[in-house]
Amino acid sequence: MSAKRLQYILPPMSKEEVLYKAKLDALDGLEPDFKPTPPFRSPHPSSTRASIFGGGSRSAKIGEVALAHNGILYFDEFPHFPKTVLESLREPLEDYSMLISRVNSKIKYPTKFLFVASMNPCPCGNLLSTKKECRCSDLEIKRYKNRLSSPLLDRIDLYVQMDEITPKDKSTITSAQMHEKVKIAFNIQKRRGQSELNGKMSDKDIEKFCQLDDESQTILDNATTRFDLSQRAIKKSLKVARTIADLDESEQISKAHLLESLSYRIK
Amino acid sequence: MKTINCATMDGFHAKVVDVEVAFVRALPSFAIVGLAQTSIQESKERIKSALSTIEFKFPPQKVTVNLSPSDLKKEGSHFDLPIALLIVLQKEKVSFDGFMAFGELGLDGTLKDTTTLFAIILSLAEAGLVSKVIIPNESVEKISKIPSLQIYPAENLQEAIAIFMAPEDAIMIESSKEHLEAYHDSYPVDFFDIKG
Repeated sequence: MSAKRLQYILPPMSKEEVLYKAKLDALDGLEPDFKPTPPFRSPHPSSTRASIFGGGSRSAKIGEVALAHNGILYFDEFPHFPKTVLESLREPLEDYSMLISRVNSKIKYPTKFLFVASMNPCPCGNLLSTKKECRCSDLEIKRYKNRLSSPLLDRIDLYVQMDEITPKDKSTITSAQMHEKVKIAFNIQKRRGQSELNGKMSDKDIEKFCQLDDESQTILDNATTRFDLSQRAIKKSLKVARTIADLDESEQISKAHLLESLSYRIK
Repeated sequence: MKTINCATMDGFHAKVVDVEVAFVRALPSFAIVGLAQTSIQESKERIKSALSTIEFKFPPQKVTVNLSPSDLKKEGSHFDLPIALLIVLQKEKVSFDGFMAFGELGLDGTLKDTTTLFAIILSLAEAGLVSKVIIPNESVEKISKIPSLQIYPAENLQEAIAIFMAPEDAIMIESSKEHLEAYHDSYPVDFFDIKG
């Protein structure tokens, strides 16, 4: 599974972040290991709302979203999570923090994680297959997709459709090579003087660092009208384009970078 | 009356707790007040047993331990050490100023690590509320990762008492001040395993 491999190619952690992760481990009842590997949390779809977001009636406890801070929160079988869990994800994804408020205790904690989710195209899983036949009715597919609301999907930056495998498929790149590229992009972003990495850049920084030339600006404007992109979607596309440019070690966002970024938006 | 500082986790952050003990001439009893949860209530038995191993006679008085602020719920067996220290050193001329003591006592007086200890001390250090800590030997390895701390390790209650009785002989460990970005370079699962 590729999601599990993601945690090992994330940018390096600062000492504060390693200590913070150790603190979370301690609060979670584990022995901290002080390894500089970002956390990877993948709660099962049957997890309760309180276990994912924190809670408890008398003294509020932290949940999975807090434990995933500086790392990855992975939801496998995305639509199988309860609606209440999915919709509650909006706040931590947007504000990067979460306030659990109870009469007796209030706790606020940071939730700056990379959110990764995977799902099948339909309940039986064969909708996009070229060989197998899909057994789902239109209504079933509609119901399955309706579990995910557009405001939630709008908060996700990249959509990638996985193709079917063929016997000729080969391994292409190792994690070490990927990690090397990530480190280069990380250093570029740090040197540029951003307060945050691209993904969590503030609006001010987006204006400053994600400038487009005239041609690219026209493409973005056209895409905005044609696909009815929200303000959030526009900003997210710009940030993704910036990252693609950084991986390319290019100072300017070019037309190709922007087009690639737009191709990752939900269709 | 002497007080020594300890701390408890309140949600996501640690709060400083003053531990104070009063001795009154009355029917002998031992009570801990200040919204102490079960693990702290049970510390009475651990403390009594640990004190007997160092041949300290428990005072035949009414002993009241107060954990202040009294309206804050306290949790964790690491309150054993500060309470025991206060009882033993009540009549000695020692100063607990600036010290924070943490540690669970075994029945034989050994000091044990607890899981929340790291979270508590890190949270205090971030807020600049702690400089000198007395902790069990077991915890030194992890606690010394927290920058700018003066750590006084103790193997058992006897050693913890010695830190105050003979401060000039006490061993102190400065925690690291290094500030670096940590790279990891092992890949237990590799993208190279993925075909396609």
